[in-house]
Amino acid sequence: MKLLERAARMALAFVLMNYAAVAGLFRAARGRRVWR
Amino acid sequence: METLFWISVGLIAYVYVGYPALLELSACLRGFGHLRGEPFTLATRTRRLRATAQWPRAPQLPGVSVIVAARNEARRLAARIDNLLACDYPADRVEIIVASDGSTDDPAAALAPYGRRVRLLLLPRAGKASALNAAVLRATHPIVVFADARQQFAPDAIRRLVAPFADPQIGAVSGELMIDGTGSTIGDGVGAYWRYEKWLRRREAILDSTLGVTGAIYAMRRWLWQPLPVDTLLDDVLGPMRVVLRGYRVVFEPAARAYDSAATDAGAELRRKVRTLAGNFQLLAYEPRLLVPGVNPVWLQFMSHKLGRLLVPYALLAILASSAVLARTSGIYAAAFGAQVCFYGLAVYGAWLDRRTRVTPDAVPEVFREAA
Repeated sequence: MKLLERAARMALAFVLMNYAAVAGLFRAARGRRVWR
Repeated sequence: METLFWISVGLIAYVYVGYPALLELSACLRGFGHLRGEPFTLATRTRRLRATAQWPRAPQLPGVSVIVAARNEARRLAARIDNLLACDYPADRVEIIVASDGSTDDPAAALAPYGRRVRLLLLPRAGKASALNAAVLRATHPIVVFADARQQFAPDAIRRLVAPFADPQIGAVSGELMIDGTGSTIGDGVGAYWRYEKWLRRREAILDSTLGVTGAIYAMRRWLWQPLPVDTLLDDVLGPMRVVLRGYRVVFEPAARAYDSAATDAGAELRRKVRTLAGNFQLLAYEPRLLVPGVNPVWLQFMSHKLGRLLVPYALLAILASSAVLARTSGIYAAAFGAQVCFYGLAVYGAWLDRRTRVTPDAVPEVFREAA
């Protein structure tokens, strides 16, 4: 069960990382402030 | 559709397997200078990659200006300054500058006990890049060390960080950020990703230069600093890449360590990654020379590591869509589609776990919370 949970969190981190690249492109294109 | 599938698979395989394998091979063959020339065996390969680079010994330690850019970090400043003062670097060769970016929590009061040992710059709120520009302008020593308010340095971190500058070809040095994932709901994933990144950086540095540095601990020759545009998102990538474009190396010194915790949930980590990846697109807008082979000394590394990583999500979507369409035509595509469904299902389960064990807002670092 622990192994499954760990794999699930790793999978989530991978998906988030890649989703962030898409969201980052849109934010950069819109010139929206994403920090401070 | 089959072509789309296999090109996308090829791209992802190159970014996550091919390029690291190429780096590994090149780094093994090159290794650090003092280990070159040995016959290549598995034992020497391990020695070459594990060896800490031996930099020329400088006649005396250079003066260092440590810059801490902060906004509303007064509650952390005392611990941060105590930590810097406890480093084993000669006190008469260090100046500490705290650049406060429009803080409203009275950083002057927090730093009052340190008197003249700390210079506080009270700046109007204009962003981290402006704060760094102002601080470097006022720095007096030839080497500037950049740090955040949150992390802690190892006692020998500054000494280790400046050692490579004895080589005149070194323009900037990245230290190593050690992340404690306990308390994080996705610490395993973040930690694994960070270990992978450091693995790549170490090999890229052996070959020539790393692509960016660790914002929590890095150093640069002051005269190589070029003022950053005020809206810069990734000062720790744009600054070092400009150093590389000027013909100097940016290396990774894993013995110079800073410590931090990854006490963050998936939402906070996502906002941080969006900022980072938006910053990579911004980097291309500010320095399009990075895309030109010959002009960028680390062009292949940049295209494979940075640009390739930006293209991977679209390749993932293409694989999902094309394998769904092709699933009825061949067992290979059906298996690929099934594997992806399982993987994304696992990620959904991970998101559910994250919701169930979400950390409190106070545990999320300031810069992460403000990244929304």
